[in-house]
Amino acid sequence: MPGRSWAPGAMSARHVSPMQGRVPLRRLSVGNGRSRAHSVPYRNTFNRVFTIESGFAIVIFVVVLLLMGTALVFFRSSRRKRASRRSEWTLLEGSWVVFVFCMAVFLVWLSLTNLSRETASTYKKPALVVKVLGFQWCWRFTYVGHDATVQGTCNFGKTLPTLVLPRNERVRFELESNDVVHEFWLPHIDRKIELFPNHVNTFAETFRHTGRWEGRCAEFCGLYHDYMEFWVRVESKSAYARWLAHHHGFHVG
Amino acid sequence: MTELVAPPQPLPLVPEAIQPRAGIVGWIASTDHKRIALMTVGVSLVCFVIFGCMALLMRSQLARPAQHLVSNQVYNELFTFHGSGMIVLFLTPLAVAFGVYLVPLQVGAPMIAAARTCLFSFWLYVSGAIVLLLSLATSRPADAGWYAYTPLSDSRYSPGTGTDLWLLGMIMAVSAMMIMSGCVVWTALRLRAPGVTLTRMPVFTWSEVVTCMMSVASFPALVAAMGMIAVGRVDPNIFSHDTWDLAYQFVFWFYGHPVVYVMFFPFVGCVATVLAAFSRKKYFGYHFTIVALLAFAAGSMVVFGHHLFTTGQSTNPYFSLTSIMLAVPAGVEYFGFIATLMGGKITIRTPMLFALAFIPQFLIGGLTGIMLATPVLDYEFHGSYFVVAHFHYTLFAGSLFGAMAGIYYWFPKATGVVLDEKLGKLNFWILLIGTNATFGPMFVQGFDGLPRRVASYSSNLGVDGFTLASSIGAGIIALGVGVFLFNVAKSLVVRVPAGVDPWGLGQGLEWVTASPPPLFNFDELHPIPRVKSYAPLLDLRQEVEDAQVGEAVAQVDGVGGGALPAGGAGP
Ligand SMILES: [Cu+2]
Ligand SMILES: [Cu+2]
Repeated sequence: MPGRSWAPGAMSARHVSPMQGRVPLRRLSVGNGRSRAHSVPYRNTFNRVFTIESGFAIVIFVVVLLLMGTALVFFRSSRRKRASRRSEWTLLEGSWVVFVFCMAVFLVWLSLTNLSRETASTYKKPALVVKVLGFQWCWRFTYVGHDATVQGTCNFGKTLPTLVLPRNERVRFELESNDVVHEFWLPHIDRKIELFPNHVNTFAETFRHTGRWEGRCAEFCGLYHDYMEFWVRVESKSAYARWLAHHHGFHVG
Repeated sequence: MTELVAPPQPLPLVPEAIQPRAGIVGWIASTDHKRIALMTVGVSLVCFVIFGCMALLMRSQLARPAQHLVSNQVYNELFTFHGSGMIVLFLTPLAVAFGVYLVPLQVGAPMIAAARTCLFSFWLYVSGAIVLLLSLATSRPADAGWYAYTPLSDSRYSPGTGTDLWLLGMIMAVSAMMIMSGCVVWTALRLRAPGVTLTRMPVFTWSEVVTCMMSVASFPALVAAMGMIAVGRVDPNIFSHDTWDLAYQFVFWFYGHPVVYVMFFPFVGCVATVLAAFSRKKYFGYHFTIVALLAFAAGSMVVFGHHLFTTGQSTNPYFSLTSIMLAVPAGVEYFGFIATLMGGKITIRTPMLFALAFIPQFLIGGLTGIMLATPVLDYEFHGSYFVVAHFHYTLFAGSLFGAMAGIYYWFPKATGVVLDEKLGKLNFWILLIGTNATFGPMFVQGFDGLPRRVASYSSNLGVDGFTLASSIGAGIIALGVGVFLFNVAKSLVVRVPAGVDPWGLGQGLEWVTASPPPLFNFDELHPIPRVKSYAPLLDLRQEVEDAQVGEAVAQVDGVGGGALPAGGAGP
């Protein structure tokens, strides 16, 4: 399994100083943090499920704290002559098990129904197929059937590749790695998937909003893992077509 | 305490000649489980300090965005060693060593089963630690992360002997703990004193039995995974592409998930013990808890796929189902904690403070675990600081607090001297603040998109305040650990004698014998009392209490005593 001859990431770790500058300015982020709520399908799923599970978690946490507090206030040694000797209450314990079981079943249902909804979209016919190749330590995007390839050098040459996508079209990503395991992360739609060498992973997504966001590698992949970033730019259909017309062949950035 | 002791069980008399050997050889060649355990705890604490310092270095670098105190290469080595060291050289050995010390005492055994094998495993562990740390002395230390995914960890991307030494150290340390675990299980299953049936073993002993069964079942997978890398480093073509590039992750996580439970079950046992003792009650819901622990252990073997949700190669619905269902045994454990407190007569001492803090802090780890077991959320959180926050809440805010509860509680038993209570409380509050200041903000960092294992980040992410808080918190934790080590040192110098039971609340058989216990744990002066339940000393104390009440009633009524029912009112 020798490294492929067409390896795009020819930069070797040993030739680049780790202190080579990072330029924070280039990371002008359009939508970062919690403000990046958009009505992309995945974002909806994430928001819905995260809200329900957070609410659930907060209720449980507060109830446990209240029970602990009650015990610590009312059952302190200063207030009590002797401790209760009861150490079992089968009916109560059994009912609790049934109750927790029902809660767990609800959470499983919540998880699985939302998951299958998302998985289903992967198998529908896409309008566009983009091949994503990860390598140490940057990205290459190939537009299948369009003779357009975009590749960056990431922080080495300070060129982040930009993944340009049409709005409201189903895009299927076919992801593969050139060397080690990487992970393609689009934080603004809460989606990531790993890239393996000699193996193609796929997922599909429809982007509902135009804008520019950061994406990055989320699996540790060696010396400059933290450099592996890219831009995602979602354009209207006509703007995307114009962009594609000007990007025949191989482009950097 | 000895006057409470009911008819002693016949014990083999220990000849005068068989006394523990003095001097350093008496320690390093001892087959006494107490000495093996104390040495293991000591080495693991040294490892804790070493790998904790690495965490401090990383937090210094991450305190400000785009900061480079250390190079990327060094940073990658730091988190590789911090992760693997804390897991295989600190928490796992600490968890098993608690069992090596306490299980023989709690089941009334004079020694640990396969004592020489146990001693061997200690030395294998120490050798593993040394070999693993030697990796740091090479020109290219291991730097592929603690789960060392292939192909990154192979000889093309991680050349040199550094990674080889690291692999060997991992194999040695993990094998050692697998062997030591076997000794603990064997002791609990085969060396129990007369009267100590399986359902009269204390909750702590059960937690150790379950822990050690998990390590025996899952640690071979780590040896297989590390062995796979070792072979692949010679020639990766021995494996098919998908085996090498992909299947490795499955082998690794078959160990990687159960080991998390190995690192927290014994401390759940510590918390349960301390809560019961300081509430002056038997642990509530014993039978349900034991079944829950066993179910938890069985479940731990079928949830590893939740680490692989984003590989696109895992059966996500199945692993989401199994992982979330673990909330059921966890719920039973929490019920036991709360119900033990309810109706008690609670005294708050240092061990109790740590045990009480464990409850909500570990709960945060558990509840965020449910989120990570939900694939549609994990697709966002995987590989981010949200995950880092989650497992530090389980392993630091949870396990370490449970371990501190256990250490403060059993320190007098193991050393014969008590720890300073004022310093203990100081230690607790500093650690509490430091822990939450460090790991709480990490949830926000992850939510805002900060990936883990990055040597630096941009301020455009908008998490600068949170990363700074985490770094300051790490400093506070270091201060808390410093207070703890000072307390241990001071108490060992000042030497306030502990007596048989300085708390006066002990429930297990370990509290009937001397502090520290004699060579074979129990002797004519400290015989094993009658064991009628999983809290034999509490039974005896309650009998005395009833006798006194009975006498009082008899004096008032002029009637014979013993009229009070044994079972009191419910909570
Ligand atoms: Cu990466
Ligand atoms: Cu796991």
